[in-house]
Amino acid sequence: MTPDSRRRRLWLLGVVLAVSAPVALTAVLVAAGGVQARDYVFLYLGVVAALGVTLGLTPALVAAGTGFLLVDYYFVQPLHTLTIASREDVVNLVVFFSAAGVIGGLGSRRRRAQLRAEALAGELGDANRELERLGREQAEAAAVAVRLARTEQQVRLLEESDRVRREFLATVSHELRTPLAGVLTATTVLAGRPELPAPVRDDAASIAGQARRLSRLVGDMLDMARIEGNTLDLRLEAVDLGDAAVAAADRLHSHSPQRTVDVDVPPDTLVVADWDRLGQILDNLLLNADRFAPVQSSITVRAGEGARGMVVIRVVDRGGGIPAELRDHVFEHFVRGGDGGGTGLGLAIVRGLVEAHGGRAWVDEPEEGVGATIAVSLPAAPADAEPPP
Amino acid sequence: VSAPEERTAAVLVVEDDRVLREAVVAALESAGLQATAVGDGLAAVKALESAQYDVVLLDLGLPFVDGWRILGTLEGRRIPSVIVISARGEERDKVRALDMGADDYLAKPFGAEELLARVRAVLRRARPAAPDAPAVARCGAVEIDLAARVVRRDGVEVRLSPTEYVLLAELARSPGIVHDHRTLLRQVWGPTYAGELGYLRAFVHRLRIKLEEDAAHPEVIVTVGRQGYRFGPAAH
Repeated sequence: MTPDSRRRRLWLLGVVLAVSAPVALTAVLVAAGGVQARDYVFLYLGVVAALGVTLGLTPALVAAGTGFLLVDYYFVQPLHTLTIASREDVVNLVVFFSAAGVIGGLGSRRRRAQLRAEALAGELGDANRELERLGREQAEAAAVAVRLARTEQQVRLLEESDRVRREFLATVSHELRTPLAGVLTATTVLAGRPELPAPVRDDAASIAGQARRLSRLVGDMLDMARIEGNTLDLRLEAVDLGDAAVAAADRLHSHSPQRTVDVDVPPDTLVVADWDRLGQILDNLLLNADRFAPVQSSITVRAGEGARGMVVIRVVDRGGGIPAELRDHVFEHFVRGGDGGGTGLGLAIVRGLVEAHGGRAWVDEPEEGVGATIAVSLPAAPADAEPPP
Repeated sequence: VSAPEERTAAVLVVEDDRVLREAVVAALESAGLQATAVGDGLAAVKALESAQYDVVLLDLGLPFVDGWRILGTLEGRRIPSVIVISARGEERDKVRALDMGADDYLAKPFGAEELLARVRAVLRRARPAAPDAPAVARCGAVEIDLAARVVRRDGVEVRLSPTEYVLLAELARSPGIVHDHRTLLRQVWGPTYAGELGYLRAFVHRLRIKLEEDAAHPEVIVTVGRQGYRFGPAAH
C-alpha cells in the first residue's frame, strides 16, 4: 500500500467516524429521552476531543459541526427544527462549536507532535542502526588493518630472510673463491715457468686443474642454492635462440677445440629468457654431451616449435647414450654417468633454470638409436617482440 | 720520454688478499709487464694520484675505500683501463661494473693466461698497432677524428675510455652500415667475447649517454632490429 492511498483511507475513515460518532451519541441520548440538551453537550466535546487526538483537526471539526446540527435539531427549542429560539441557546451553541474547534485543534496538534515524535524516534532508530553498522565496519576495517600490518610484517621478514640468504651466498662465494683464486693464479704462474723442472710444472698444472674444478663446483653449488631458494634473478627478454646457440658453441670450442657443433636453429627463433642463464643452460648441455661422446663425433643443437607456445631445444650427441638405469635420474644432484670431470650438478642446474623460465627438461629417445638426446622447452617470444636496446 | 708503444706497460694491482696479489704480480712480471701492488683502497687512491698506469686490476671489496668508489673516480679517463676482478660472481655486479666504466670484468678465480689475455686486450685497445688513416666521421653534433683518436661533440672534446673509443671508431669507420653484435664483439673485445652481449649493451649505453642528445632516442648509435648497431642514418 502506498503512503498516499493509506492517507486517503485514513481521511475517509475520519470523515465517516466524524459523522457517525455524533449520530450514534444522539441516537443513544434520544432513546434515553427527555433530557436537557446542555447537560450532554460535554459528551459531544468528548467525542470531538477523541477524534481530534486520534484522527486530526478535520474530523474533529466535522464532528463538531455534525454535533452542532444534531443538538440543535433534537435538543434545542423549538425541537426538530434547525432554528434556535432563545439567544442563550445561540450563545451556548456557538461556545460549544468554538470549544469543540479548540479541543479538536489542540488534539490534532498533539497528534501531529506525536507523529513528529514517532518520526523522530524512527529517524533516531535509523541513525542508531547506521551508527552500529558504521561501528561494525570500523571494527572490520581495524581487523583488516591489523591483518594487513601482520602480512606486511611477514613480507618484511621474508624480504629480510631473502636478503640475508643472498648476502650469505655472496659471502660464501667470496670466501671460497678468494683463496681458490690465489691457488689457481699462483699454480698457473708456476706451471708456465720454463726454468722449473717439468715434473714441478706438471704438478702445478694438476693443482691448477683441481682448483678450476673446485671453482666450478662452488659456482654450481651456489647456483643450485639460488634455484632451490627461489632467489634466481632472471632478466627476461626476447632472445634469439640461434645467437645464443652459436655463442655457446663458440664457448665449447675454446674448451674443446676438436669438437664440431652443428647449430640447426631456424632463423628468428625467439624465446623468453635471461641471456646469461640461457647461455648457462646451453653450456651445461653441450659440456655434458662433450664429456660423453667420442671426440671425433659432432654434437647437434636443434630447435623447433613445441606444443602450447613453447620452443623445444634438443642437444644430440653420438656417444654411448644414457644407461637405462640412469635415464630417470640424470637431472638429479650428483648423478654422474662416469668420471667425466663434471661437478654432477650440470643437468640438475639445467632443469632448475629451465623450470624457472617456465619450461621443462627431459631425456628424448636417441636419434637412430645412437647417443643421447636431452631436450628442454622454453616459452616462445612473439616474432614482433621489442628488440633489446 | 719514450712513446707509450715502446715503454713497458704499467699495471696497478689493487687486491686485499696477499696470496692472490703476489700471484697476480708474478703472472704480470712473467709476461714482461711492470706491476705495482697495493692492498687497500686508500693506498690505491694514493698510487693513482702519484703515478700513471696503463691498466688497473681492481678488486671491488676493499678495506678503507670501496672498489666501486675508485671505479667511479676513474670513469671518463682515457687511461688507465680498468679490469674489475671480483669474487662475488653475481651477474649483476658485472653489468654494474661495466656500466660504471670498467673496461672488462674478470671473475675469480682465474688462471694466469686468462688474466694476461685480458690485460693484453685492453692494452691493444688503448694502443692500436696501426693508426687510422686521416678521416673524420660526423653525425649531427658528433665528430670523430679517426687519425687523432679524438671525439668532439659541439666542438668540445668528449672523454672516452679506450674501449668506448674503439667501439665507436669501429662503427664510425663505415657509417650507415649495420654492424652485427657478434662481429662487433669479436673485433672490439676479441674472439672469445662473441657471446658477451652484455658488454656490447653496456658500452653502447655508456657511449649514448656521452654522445646522444636524447639517449632514449639515439641518432648517433642506432639499434638495428635484433642484429646490430649502425653509426648515423642508414646508407643508401
